Amino acid sequence: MSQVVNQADSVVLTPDTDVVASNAQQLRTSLFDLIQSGHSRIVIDLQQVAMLDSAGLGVFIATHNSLKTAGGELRVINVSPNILRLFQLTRLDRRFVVESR
Amino acid sequence: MECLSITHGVHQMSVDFASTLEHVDAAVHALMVFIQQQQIPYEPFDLELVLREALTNAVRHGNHLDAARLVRCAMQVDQDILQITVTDEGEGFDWQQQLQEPRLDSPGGRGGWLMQLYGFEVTYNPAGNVLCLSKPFDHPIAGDMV
Repeated sequence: MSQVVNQADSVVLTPDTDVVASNAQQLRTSLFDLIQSGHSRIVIDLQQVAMLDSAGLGVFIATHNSLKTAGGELRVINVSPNILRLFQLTRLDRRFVVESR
Repeated sequence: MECLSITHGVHQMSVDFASTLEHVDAAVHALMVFIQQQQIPYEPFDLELVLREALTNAVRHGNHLDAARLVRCAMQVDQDILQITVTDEGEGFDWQQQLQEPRLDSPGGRGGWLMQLYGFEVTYNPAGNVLCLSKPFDHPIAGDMV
């Protein structure tokens, strides 16, 4: 479901489908595995994601909470205008970095 | 009983489906095809998000992911308003809590709040197993009013 690419100072995870309730647990597991293996700076690239629901938001929040505890950082990049508005309406863009396409 | 069945009218549609998250995806897809045919003046993303929250709540909190229980989503398009009714076969749940804004660091509990945030009037029956959503066509979303 997700491509994972290691970079110099972070790891980039790119889901290849929408992040909704039916697959949010799968993404949560992938992110948990990255954190467990020592990654503290995670980038989630949403270039291929058109829909994100509250289950997906919950995965991002849980990931941010875990990384923050470990002194790390979550960045969410390449978000569509609609998903950017969702992050803004829920004010989650104030919790972690969200960058539009 | 099929796992997903669809009933169509000219300006109304209903979908019955088994309580799995995969069936939520299929039901939302069918409902969005109907919505596009009706040329409802909403941003498709907004409506799909609200449908996903409503149906996922019914499947997860109403029917507790019991595939033997059904969820029905009925949609009615009138001249200037969209009305959606979602009925599950559960005993009801604490829907009042679902409508409150959650803590910013809370991973869950945003479903009902999001439906309101996107401009829908959200009401449940007292038991909490029938959800009614409505939104006039000219109603802005909450975030656009501030």
